[in-house]
Amino acid sequence: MQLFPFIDWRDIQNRMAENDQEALRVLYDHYSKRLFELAYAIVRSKEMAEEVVGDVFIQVWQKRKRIHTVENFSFYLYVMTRNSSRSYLRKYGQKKLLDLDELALPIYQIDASPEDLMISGEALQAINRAINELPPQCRMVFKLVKEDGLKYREVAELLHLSPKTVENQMGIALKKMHAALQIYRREQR
Amino acid sequence: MSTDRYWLLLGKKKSGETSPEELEELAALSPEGDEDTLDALDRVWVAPMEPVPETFPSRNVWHRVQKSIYSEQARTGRGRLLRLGLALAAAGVLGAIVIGGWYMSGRKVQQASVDAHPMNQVVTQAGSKTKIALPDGTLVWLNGNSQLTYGNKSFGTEEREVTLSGEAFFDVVKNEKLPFIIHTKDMTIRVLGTAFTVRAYPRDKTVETVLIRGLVEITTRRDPERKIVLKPNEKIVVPVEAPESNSTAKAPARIPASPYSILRLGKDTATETVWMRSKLEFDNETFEELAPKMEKWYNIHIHFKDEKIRKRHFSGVIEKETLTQTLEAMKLSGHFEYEIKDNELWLREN
Repeated sequence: MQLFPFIDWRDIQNRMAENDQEALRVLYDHYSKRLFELAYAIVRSKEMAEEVVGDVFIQVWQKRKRIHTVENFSFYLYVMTRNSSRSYLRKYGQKKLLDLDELALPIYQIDASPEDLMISGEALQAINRAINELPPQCRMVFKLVKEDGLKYREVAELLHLSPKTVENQMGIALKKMHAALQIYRREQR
Repeated sequence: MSTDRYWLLLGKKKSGETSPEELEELAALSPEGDEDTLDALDRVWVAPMEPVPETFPSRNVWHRVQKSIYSEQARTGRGRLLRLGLALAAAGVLGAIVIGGWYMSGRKVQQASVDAHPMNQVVTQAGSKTKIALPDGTLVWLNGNSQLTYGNKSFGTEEREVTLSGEAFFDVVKNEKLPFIIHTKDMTIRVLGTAFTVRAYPRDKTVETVLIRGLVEITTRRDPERKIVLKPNEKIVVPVEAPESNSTAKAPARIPASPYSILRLGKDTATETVWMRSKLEFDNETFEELAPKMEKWYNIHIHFKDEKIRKRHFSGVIEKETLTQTLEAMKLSGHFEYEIKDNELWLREN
């Protein structure tokens, strides 16, 4: 879970419906990086992921009169990105349109100092290692829930998983992180 | 598998997805003496997690989005403004002043940077257009007969200042630390992240800026202390000051006009940006309606010597055709004669 600066997305949706391009810019600044990460994970190419993200925002603008009533706008953007990524893969003749074992994920790092977290540098390293050693599907689920704030059922729908699987994957991620912290604490004693 | 159940419930709790029953279950499963580690885990959970190296889409993505918006506007934009456009064009054709040199006086900062670093210069020939991406990602569409100059090394890092002679459409990348500044003769434009056109041809009697969106701040050479803020769909027209005596042989008459005028263009700014498009389409429009678009497209001034020609209707698409080719095609149905001299086009009844 992450705390975002407060942006009234309902207001952004309304402003877009009234042709306010600055509203689209706010949306883009906030979401382009996250959506790019999702697109990249699926299509595994920077150029293609950029096309996908561009397409998503162009579509949002084209549909602005209709989508200003969309309830869960954030999730809507993720779904659009997934769909657009899949259609790119289809266009390039890929058979598997969403291969959760082959997701291209970056190396993640907890972006805080050991002092802020009140743990040692070694413990922080161990945590980062634990996150990046998670299997791709597990890491993707963890990232979408923890970092992007998506609900379990949303992640399940987005990645075509059962809600139970999402629960299990999240459990595994926490268990590994906890283990990393605990090993270090035991050594300290 | 009660330990796995424990982690599953802990995950749900952190994500705010637990029911009251599950919270009770979680409390029952919690091991003793693990509080320190769990607290540390809490702090890690709320800390941001970033990809290394940072991954983000390049600037081109946003520009592609913007381009698609502009082409949509161009498609839907209709010529409600044409009468205004014509009036402006008429005001602009009162003879020509040649400003010697496109560098303005009193541009000390700019001059200094010329000495320090060589300048990049982009020049377009009459009738040709070009699109430039500046080092900071700002896009510039440069109309024919125009010149854009910017610092080779300093631009984008130390400053964002360009000098324009001619006409250009700017789509400026936001950067609050480095304001984007455009110098033209008689007008300096300070930009706060925005899209707009600037028209400052040396031969024109006025310098113009039309704002499509965002906010720009303008100062004129005549009154540098006064800051004029331009809002979207507004156009500012600043009369050119008489050039310094050494720049032209003949001293033209001074323009007695007010320092500047601001015109509200309504929602439709299509005519102002018509020259940026890849083709100019017109469907059963009168020559009078078509003229301002052609003036922008070919960067000419059109004069009707016979009023009847104004009301004649034309349909067609101009893409790569030269002015002469277009006029020859129009002549077939239009019954007129034309004469071109420099950038002036005279039309008379056949």
